[in-house]
Amino acid sequence: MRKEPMTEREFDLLLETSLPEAPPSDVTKWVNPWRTAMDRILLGFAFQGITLHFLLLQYILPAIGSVLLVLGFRSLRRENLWFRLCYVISLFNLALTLVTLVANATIYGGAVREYLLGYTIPLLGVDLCQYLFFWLGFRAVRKKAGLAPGAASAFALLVWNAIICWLGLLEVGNMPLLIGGIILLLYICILRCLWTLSTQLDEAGYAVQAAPVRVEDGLLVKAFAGVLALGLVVGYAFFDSYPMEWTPAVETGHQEIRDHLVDLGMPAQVAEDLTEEDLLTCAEATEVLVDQEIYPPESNREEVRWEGSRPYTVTLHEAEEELRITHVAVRLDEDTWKILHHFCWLVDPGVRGTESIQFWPAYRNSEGWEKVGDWSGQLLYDRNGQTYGAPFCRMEEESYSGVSMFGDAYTATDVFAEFSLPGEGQNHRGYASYSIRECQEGWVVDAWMNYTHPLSQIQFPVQTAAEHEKSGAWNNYRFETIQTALQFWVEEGIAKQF
Amino acid sequence: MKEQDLVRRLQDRDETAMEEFLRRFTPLMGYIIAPILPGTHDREECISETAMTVWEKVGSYDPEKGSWTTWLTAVTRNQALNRARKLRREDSTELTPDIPSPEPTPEERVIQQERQAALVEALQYLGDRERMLFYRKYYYRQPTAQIAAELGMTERAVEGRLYRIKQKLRKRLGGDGYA
Repeated sequence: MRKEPMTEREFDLLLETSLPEAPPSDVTKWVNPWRTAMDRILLGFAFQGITLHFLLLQYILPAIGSVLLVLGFRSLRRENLWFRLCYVISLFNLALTLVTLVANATIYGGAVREYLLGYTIPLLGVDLCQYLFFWLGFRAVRKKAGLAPGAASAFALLVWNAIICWLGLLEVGNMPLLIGGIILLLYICILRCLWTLSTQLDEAGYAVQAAPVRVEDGLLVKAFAGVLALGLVVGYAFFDSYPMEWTPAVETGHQEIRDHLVDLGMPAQVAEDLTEEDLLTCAEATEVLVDQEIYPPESNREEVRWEGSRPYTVTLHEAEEELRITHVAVRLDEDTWKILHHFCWLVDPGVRGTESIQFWPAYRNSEGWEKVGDWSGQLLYDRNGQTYGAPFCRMEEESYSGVSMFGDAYTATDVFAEFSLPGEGQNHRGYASYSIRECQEGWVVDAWMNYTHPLSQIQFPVQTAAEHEKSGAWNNYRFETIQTALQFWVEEGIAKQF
Repeated sequence: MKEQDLVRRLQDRDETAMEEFLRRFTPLMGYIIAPILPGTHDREECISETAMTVWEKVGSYDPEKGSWTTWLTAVTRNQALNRARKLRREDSTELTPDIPSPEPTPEERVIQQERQAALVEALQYLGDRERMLFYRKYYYRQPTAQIAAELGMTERAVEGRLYRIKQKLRKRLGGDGYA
């Protein structure tokens, strides 16, 4: 005889009555409104408290920590005022983490970090408040459970973080390994104590009333991950380069001046790229000095070979010529020179992003030469027979701090030209120019340019080429800097190149 | 005082340990009793009765068979269920299908044991989170709202997951003809 299917209610009743008297131990361990929340909070604090500078863990762990703290305190937010305040702070920190991570996928990450640096003390204060409120919340739960309110481990965590913040403000960045190790050990001990205390407090945790949620924990985590991923994609796709104002270049005329400069020795490619203003400045030029370099340098290396006893020279094209840099000095009158630094990509520049040229002008650290007028220049490229031009995104003198290769901090003032190249066209090129006047004889004209080009599209955090230059870092997989200079001196009115 | 010291003192019939026990474990007992007994008065009485039962039966607690929390959970839950049955019997003179007879026949006892074994085996095939959810619902008898709040889920999600768990169990236990 076929049995009748059981109704839902019958099946529910059957399940309820068929369970053994005692549940498994792992079930009784975890069925507690306090345990999951507390584990998340402690793990969150652990992830936020330790900074590991490898494999991007300095970003990943605090981000996970922020999410865990939100989930943990969300569950306890209705338990007491202190946990509610902790929840508010954890939400604030999560938002800040999100903004910082997304900003790090853009060229504005450095500016955001610098902005936040101005609020270091208030932000550290907020973090310390969270530890303080956590300790007070912990005490309140103990009190509610009828236990002595002391929570030494939570207080130790607060003190430990206060000390770390204080050391941070004193800029004790490079602690000796031994002291760093002791601090780390101490931190692990505090977390261990807290963990033990949390387990001991499980019985008190049964008195805690978990707060209902409208959005599931899993969904919240997915939303955070989704927003973060979207932010990173948008950051990398749309904010990894400077906004440039490319417009079709207008014919400037003044061909006679160009011809005059070419006759004096200026390469035609450079003369063609000068703005009308710069051309007019050079109208009365009397002399032109040129120094041209091709990169990579091995691309057109010459080698002497022998055929029997007869020597002959061959040019070895071991690598494709990529970048041509031309330095030009135009003598405007007896004492005044116009210095031009021109670059031209002979191939596709490859990785796009931000480019930067750091100039050490001839008047820098020189008593013999002074600047006349302002800097000028422009960027150009060709596409389908049309030339497009744009001003530099930024070209100005800037003071900055860095760390030398010997580890010493220094402050310098240089001129930076920052720009991005378009992802289309050919002959990407540009130049920057300034004028100098001799004010004291016997000083060499020593004009340098450091051109920094990105090598890697994906960086985290995204660093601009200018930031790379200012940091004093060496060439690496992210950026390459080409350093080159024009050097000459004037003796009895005659210019001589090195 | 450590948990094992407290238990040892209870087993040694130390009356002062009972005070400590009540102070520390009343929240746990209250947590287990609350979903089964809705009335505050009943809950308070149940806690007192459970404490008495613990005092009487603490000698039977064997740490090797399970944790103290597990043992106390089982004792408390039984006490609460017995009280709930008693209250229902007082409300209705006849036994309804919802209220199984408190004293099963030997045959029913054998069937019950077989069911328990089958269910425990079937539960092994559930994931940890599913198993935890199942125990909350069918062992602790927690309402959906409480389960949702404590697991950081919405009530709808809890219901959906419980439905899927039941489907799995139905299949594992032999379909609709399990009874």
